[in-house]
Amino acid sequence: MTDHHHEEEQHREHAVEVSVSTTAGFFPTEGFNRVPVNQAVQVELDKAKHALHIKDTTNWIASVASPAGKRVVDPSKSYAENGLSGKVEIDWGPSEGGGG
Amino acid sequence: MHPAAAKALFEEEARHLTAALATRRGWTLHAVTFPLIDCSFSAPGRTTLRLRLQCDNWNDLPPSITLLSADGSPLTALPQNPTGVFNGGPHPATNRPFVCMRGAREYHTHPSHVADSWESLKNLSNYSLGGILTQLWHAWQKGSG
Repeated sequence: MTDHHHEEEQHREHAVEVSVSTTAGFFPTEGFNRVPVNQAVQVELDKAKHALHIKDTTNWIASVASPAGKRVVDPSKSYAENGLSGKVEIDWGPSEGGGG
Repeated sequence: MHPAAAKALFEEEARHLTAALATRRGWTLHAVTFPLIDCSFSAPGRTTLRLRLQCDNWNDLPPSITLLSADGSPLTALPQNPTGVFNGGPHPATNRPFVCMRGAREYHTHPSHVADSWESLKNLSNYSLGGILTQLWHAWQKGSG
């Protein structure tokens, strides 16, 4: 493997591809953004909030689909700390309000 | 709200309820045409829940939400759910099970909640059409059966 290919491989291993879905749209609009695997999930959520003109995200939860069902992600932690790698599809929206 | 303004606001919000979003969430969008949203929630091992949101006079009024079976017939048995959002009722106005959650017309018109004003919620992101649907989806996901 050449040095150039080795660097590319290392870069790929240290990045994830992220797409955020909301009912105000997707961020990015199409495809995925490549971001560092050690970056907090919140960074991309903040960008999505700004790009999609979402006014208020109080009580919103971020989650990913897993074989066992939906798994909630901690936005203050990195993708690596959340056990996420490769292509990451984050769903983001308000948690349910109280009932009864 | 003037009917044309209600329709314009509905369409502005509903344009984001796309096939791509539905695929990612396991939703089926049967209809998204003013003043109606007809949507099913599905997941492996779960009984599908279908919801019909009647959004006339949006957003001066919250949507009136009907709980349905997958085939569109009235729901006869509520999904097992710990949130209290899906209430067996019957609701005094509709005589049916209902959604007992802020953002549902049946909640705000229920004698127990008439003091809880929709007016203070209607412009919040959590209570857009997509926000209300997402809250209901999250509530449904906490249940079983």
